[in-house]
Amino acid sequence: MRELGMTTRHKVLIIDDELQIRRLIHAALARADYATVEAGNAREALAKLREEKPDISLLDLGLPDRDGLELVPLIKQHSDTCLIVISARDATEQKVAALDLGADDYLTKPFDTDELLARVRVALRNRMTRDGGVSAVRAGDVTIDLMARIVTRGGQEVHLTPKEYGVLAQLAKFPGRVITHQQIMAQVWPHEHEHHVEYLRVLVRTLRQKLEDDPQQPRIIVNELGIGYRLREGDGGEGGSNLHLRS
Amino acid sequence: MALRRAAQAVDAQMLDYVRAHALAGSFAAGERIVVAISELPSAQGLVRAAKRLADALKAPWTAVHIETRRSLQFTAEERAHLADTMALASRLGATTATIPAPGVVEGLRQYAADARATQIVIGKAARSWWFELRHGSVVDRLVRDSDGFGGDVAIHVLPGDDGARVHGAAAAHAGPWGKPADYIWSTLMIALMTAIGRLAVETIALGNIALLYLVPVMFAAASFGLRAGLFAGLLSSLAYNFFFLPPTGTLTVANPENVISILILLGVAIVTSQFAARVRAQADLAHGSARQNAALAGFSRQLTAAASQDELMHAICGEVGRLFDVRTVLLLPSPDGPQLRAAVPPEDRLEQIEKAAAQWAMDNEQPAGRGSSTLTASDWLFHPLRTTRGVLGVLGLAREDAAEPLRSDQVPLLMSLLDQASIAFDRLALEEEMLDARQIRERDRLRSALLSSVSHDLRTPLTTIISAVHELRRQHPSDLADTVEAEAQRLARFVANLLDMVRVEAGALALKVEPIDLFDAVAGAVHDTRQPLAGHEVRVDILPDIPLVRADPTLLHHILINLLDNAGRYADPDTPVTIRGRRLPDAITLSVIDEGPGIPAGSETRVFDTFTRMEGSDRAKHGTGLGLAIVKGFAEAMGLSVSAANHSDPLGACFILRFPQALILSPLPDED
Repeated sequence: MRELGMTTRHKVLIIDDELQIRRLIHAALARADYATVEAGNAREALAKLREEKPDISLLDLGLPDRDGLELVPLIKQHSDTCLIVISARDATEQKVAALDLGADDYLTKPFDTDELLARVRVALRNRMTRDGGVSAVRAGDVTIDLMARIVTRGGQEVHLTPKEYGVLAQLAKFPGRVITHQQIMAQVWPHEHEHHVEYLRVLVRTLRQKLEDDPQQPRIIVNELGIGYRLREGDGGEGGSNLHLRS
Repeated sequence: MALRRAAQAVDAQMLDYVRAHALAGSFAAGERIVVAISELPSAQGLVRAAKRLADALKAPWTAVHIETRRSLQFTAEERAHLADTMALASRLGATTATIPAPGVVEGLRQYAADARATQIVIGKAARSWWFELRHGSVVDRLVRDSDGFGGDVAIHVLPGDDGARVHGAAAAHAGPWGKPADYIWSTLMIALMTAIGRLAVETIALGNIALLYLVPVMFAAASFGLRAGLFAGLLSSLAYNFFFLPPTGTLTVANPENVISILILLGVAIVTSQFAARVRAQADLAHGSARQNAALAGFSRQLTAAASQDELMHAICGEVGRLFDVRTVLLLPSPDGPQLRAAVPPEDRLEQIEKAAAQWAMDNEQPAGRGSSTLTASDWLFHPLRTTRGVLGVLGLAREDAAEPLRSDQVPLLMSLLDQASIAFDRLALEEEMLDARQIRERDRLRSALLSSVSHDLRTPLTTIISAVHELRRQHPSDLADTVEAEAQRLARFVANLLDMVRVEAGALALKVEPIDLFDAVAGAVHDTRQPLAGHEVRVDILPDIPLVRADPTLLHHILINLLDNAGRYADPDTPVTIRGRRLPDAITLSVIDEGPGIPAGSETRVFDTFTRMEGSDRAKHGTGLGLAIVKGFAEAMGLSVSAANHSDPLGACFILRFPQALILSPLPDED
């Protein structure tokens, strides 16, 4: 794992064929003190990936010379960069495919630059802790202790069934990152060949009833339209993440 | 009933099969009626009776006239009757046919077998006993020979008409007298034979001399017909008697045996002429039919070649004019009365009386003008052109010398030609419709492609602008940047709506249905409509245990966004917007309820029309008017229904999304 020092700026590779988008992302990232590298097509992107070894890659799926989805496994094979795909609003299936192929997160166009920065932060953190470094996650007044397998809400232990805990743990392992339905179900129902989203939906509903202040307007387990769920960590506010690293 | 219909369908194919393989025998399945009609006026009653029978049996029927040699001798009046009867049958839905045959019974039997008729309708002749004695009754023979039809043919004999008169013994019915030249030739030949006989009388037996006279008798009978044959026979026997039979030089016969020679000569004349006349009549009929068929075939070939309506109309005029040697015009209906569309030879204008006749023919679907029963003062005869879509126009015929344009025996041919013309018009119309449909499809496709490409092209820079402005606001907060962002967002929403509408209208919504928790759907939509709903409290009032539903998450999201956006636009400021989910016995409803002016009375369904915006409010409403149309399009694509209503306390609009039972997932058994 790379050491994080104040002097090391994280490097982000922006892969997009549109100059204006690259310029925009560059401006946003520069504001947050990231170093950026840009690529306008797939060939260039793979070259920059080898040369520059970026910490994070932002990949627009609509590239002129190659299908963005093809690029996802290639990038993951040839580097240990964190991959965030960017795609249009309606391309749900494309997003799911990219995530299942190994992308770490996604962003929908048009995006909010704050959201972009938040995703980049989450991805960086997950990169640091991806070897199981997270021991406990806080979201609102809920704490999930992945080591002790204990969930508390407002200091009180919440009783969860094994499957409920399984789902929550999946989300908590990568807080802030979207986890697809398939990814969750493959872990929670490992022996079933056909995964039925309705079971997951019902489970999430009971989880929310146990964890959320207002289950009708969930703030901890957030649905990602047609894709999966995301655990919104912290107090819901910006930069409020509260993360305990295993020492 | 179903069986009979199936049988009828099978029959159509079988008829082709029978024809193609020239099978003999009966394949009768459905009922099929053949009515035999004659030249008598009473035949029309027979046609009507057959029509009633056909209606009762729901069977196809054919009116057939058996054309025999006698048909050639019909008077103009008889021909007219026959044409009228045929036309009547055609109007009443019958197929009509004219079959040349040596005799009525034979022709009818042949036709009935070909068409595999199951019922034959024929009239009992109202003819003199003398006629029947000479010609025999068709009815009697038909009934007697009914075994010849294959046994299962029912024959209906109706009073008042005879199918057609038969002339079994044609000898009794002499042909025309013929030309004087025929008799001169006969006389010359007999003179020649007499001369030869005189020269040879010393060397050959007297009896054999008689054989010489057979040559002119047979020749005259075969070539010039019965009367010339009889004349030759009589003259021969006189010459034989006078020049050869002792006592020569007188017309007395000494030896009674020689009487036999004279009788034989006469008999040969009769029999030969009989056969020859029959063969000639057949040939004449066949020739006539062949001419008609050739005319019809040529006509339809010409019409098939026509690529446009104008060409077709000219072809019809030209061909009909050529076949009947008349002037022709074709008129189509128009708001200002019949309009001249084609004429051969070119014709500029028609007199008022002609136009009136043409109009009458169009309106009544009956011939009008000269030679018809209506408006005979017109120089022209107008026949309607009937197609499957009603009367298409009228064809006018006239002669240069202002005589009657058509002989009555030409009417059936004209009717056949008009039928062909109608078919050609139908074919053209169908082709045009197909072309139109193709063009409309193509235009729709182009329009959609254009709209979608424009929207895409707009969207790409818009997304960049929105993100860029957002970043700009972060770095240099300003009111102007806020304005730009808000307007850019609105523009983006319009473009998105436009794209969605294109997808709805193209029917190109690829559904990806999955189980959905309405709480998720609502929370997502509320999250994405924070801006338009700023200033409104959003209340989510959904039953906690509401079942999951099956829907496309993206489409449902768009539906809810549009409904919430709509509520944000029309609700009074600072009023809450409520999202209510309820379980009904057979459905789940999700309603978006606002407090505001509501929907103008009577437009509860109209609000979902494309580009409808609510009127009756002086507040400027920003919107494309597409939002609710998209809601409806998306909802229907997923099997949901959507409705709008007003509620009174507090006043406001209520949009109700209804998930039918089929889209509701039953609660799952507890797994843990």
